[in-house]
Amino acid sequence: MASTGALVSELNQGVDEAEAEIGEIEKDLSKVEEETNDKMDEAILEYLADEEEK
Amino acid sequence: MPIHIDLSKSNLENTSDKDKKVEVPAVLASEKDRSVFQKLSAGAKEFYLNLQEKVEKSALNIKTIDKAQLMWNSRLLERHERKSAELSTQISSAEKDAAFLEKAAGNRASFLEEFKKKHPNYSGDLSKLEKEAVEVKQDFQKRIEKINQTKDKLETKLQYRNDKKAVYENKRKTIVEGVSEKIGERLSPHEKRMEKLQGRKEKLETEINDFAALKDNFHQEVEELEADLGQANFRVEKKMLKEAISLIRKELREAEKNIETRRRQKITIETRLAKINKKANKWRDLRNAFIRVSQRQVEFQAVHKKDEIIAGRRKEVEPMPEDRRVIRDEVAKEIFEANEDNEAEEADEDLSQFSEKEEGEQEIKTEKMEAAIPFVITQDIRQQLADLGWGREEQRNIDPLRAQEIIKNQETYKKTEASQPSEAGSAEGSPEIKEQVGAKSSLSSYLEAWNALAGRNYRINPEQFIKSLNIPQDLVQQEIALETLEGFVRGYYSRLKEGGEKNIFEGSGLKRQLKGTARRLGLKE
Repeated sequence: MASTGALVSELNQGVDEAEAEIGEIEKDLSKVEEETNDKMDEAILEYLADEEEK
Repeated sequence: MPIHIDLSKSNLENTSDKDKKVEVPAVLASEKDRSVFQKLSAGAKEFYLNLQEKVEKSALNIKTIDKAQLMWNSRLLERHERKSAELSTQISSAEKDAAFLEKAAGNRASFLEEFKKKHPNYSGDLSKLEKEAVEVKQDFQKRIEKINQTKDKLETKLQYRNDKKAVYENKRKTIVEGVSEKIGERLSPHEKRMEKLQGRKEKLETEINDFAALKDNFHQEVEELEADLGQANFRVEKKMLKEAISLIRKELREAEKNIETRRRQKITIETRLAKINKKANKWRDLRNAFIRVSQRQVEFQAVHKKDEIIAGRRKEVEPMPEDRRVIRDEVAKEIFEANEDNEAEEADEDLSQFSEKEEGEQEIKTEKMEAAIPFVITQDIRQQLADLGWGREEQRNIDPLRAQEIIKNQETYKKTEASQPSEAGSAEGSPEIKEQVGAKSSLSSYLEAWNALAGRNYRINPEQFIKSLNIPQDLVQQEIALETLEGFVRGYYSRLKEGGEKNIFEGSGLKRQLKGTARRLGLKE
């Protein structure tokens, strides 16, 4: 059971790191999401704009 | 509660005065976007504001998916499609007018010539008539030129519409690829870590199970010792057995305690891992939703004018072959599906209601379209007629009602000449025969039939064709197997493609054209 204790410690440490990592990933991808929204806004607006009829 | 956007055409095209006084939404931070918004028509502004309103009111926090869905919304595409269809109709009408005038001019000119031939000894003064004929011809020529100029302008406008859709399609593609790539890049190392942790967790489970098995063994051992104790006769023996039982029971309790602790620890770890996975899944779902939604493609009619310019400008987006086209309703069902958590389920519900509304509208529209008789022969109808062997010339002689009837009954074109192979060669006298075994035709007839069906940009110059494929002259008039003739055409187009020609028949388009040509020659049903 002692070695199992080491395994649990190792797992807890790994999960701590994964939690920190996913936090960073969320921050980064939120930025990507924001940029994507801006790009979609821009694309929709430009598509709606009817330059030909000016 | 689901939020619905009014995407009806009347709403999109609304240009009432009150709608013209629209403030730029705060969400548009960049000066460029604000400037573009200000230049939008009232209907377009309303459309965009509806989109923003939906996103702001959404309690589901899925604004990106909301926007993506709107970006691929068919109503958005219809804005340009409707105008494209109007332009196509006008172009078709101009082509018809020009052809009519050309024919009329030819008739007038030939009338006098015929008269002179028939009446060589006529003594009357024909100079006035001749002068009039020349003037009429000139007048017709001017009118034809004017029509052609108008047609050119219309084609340019149609090209603009197509380019606009192509640019939009490329932007959407870039956005999807960007999202997919960035999410993939960011999640990839995390996924490896999670995989490793999953492996360790499985090892923990195995160890806990081993301890549980050991505990069962202790338990069994205690039971056996207790049975021995019941049968023991000597005090010493009983004392030893009691001590052994006591020791094993102590071990057993310790094992139970440890197992319980490890199990609780395992559950805690699993719960934490599930939370991490849920966070990561949000991004996986977003990536998947974008990939699914991107399967919806933009369709547009090819403009045959200035083909070399079209080919050069549209490098990334080519008009799509029919077999690759995706029907909106089919794809819409697959968009934004099946997320695992509750939030996503709610999102699904909301989006599916939104989609159902759209689908309902589409169904009504389809029913209406089926019931109505087309008032023009569209490019799509022309293509379907060509598939049935109706060439350009034959198509000119039929009205939209007849065209619809032909398509509905899948009526193939039947050539009336006596030499027509399908009629002359049929044992039962039936004009429609199945594909003939070893069907043959001469190369010249085949190319003639091909050119009668193909649009002007796809017509084959027989001389160039023979030269390009190095076909011996004596083969030109010989009867050759259909497969060989079709092979020649495929080879010819392959060479054109290798030579850098972009706007050529390929894939299913070429297959349809080959089929249509064989039908026209009566070699296939």
